[in-house]
Amino acid sequence: MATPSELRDLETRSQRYWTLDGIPERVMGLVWLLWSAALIAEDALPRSAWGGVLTMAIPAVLVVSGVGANWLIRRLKERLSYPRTGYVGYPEPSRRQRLLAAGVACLAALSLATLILTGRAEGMERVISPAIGLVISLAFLVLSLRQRAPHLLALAGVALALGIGIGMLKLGWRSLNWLFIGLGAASVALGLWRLRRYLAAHPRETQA
Amino acid sequence: MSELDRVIHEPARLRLVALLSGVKEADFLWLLSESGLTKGNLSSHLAKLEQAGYVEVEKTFRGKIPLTLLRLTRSGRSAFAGYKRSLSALMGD
Repeated sequence: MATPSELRDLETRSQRYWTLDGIPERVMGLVWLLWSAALIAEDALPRSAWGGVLTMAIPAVLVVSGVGANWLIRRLKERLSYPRTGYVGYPEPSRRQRLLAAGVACLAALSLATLILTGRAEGMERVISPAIGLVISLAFLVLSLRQRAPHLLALAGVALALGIGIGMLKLGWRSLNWLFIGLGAASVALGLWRLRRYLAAHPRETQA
Repeated sequence: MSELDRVIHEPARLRLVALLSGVKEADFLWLLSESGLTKGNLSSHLAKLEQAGYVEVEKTFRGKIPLTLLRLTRSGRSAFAGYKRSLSALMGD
């Protein structure tokens, strides 16, 4: 007879399947590299009209890259993973989950805007890298535990180590660029390694 | 033991129902690779689950390739939830 723990393991198989091929990690890494490239370009450009345009374009780059990443992951899975190990359709998030995610995002944006508008953001550049590194690390830790995916612990460790390490270099706001470059490179490398292993373990077969 | 659903209680079918409970839908190939069953066995157990009204089978195409999509029905989800409750009660959780 199956134990409740064995049943729980079977129920969460589909969640682990999402990162089995390394595609989400690879695309997420590319998005982070794109973000850091946009931030570096904005920083490097002189304060001219073009610099202003780029500054205004950055929020759009962030949003479009998020949507584009989702699209790219699905297209790559359709080409590489579904023909090998099958297709899984994931349940849509419930209304409550959507509201919670939107609430957390609004709260974070509001807190940041308040800090900047009230002039309390001074000195934030010293802690921004360790703080963001810690938040990303905790997110990977939660994901790793929920999905029982130990490889995500490696990214949690990298995020924390990079956040603290880059923070110690005292690069100011530029530390964020380096944090995303490091995280992006680590994520792409992990994704490529997992994709290679996945492709070797699952040669393509025709659909049943 | 009498409270456990006999259709779901069979180990291979329990595996299939538990796998499907975590997804909106999945294709035959995914269930085949995750369940470790043979194609014949998988088809036979899916037919029993479909007969009991627990699984819905949709035959479609992805491009020119045939695709068999499977999903738990509402009654399948409710039967699985009931099975888990009975199992927990039996195990004294």
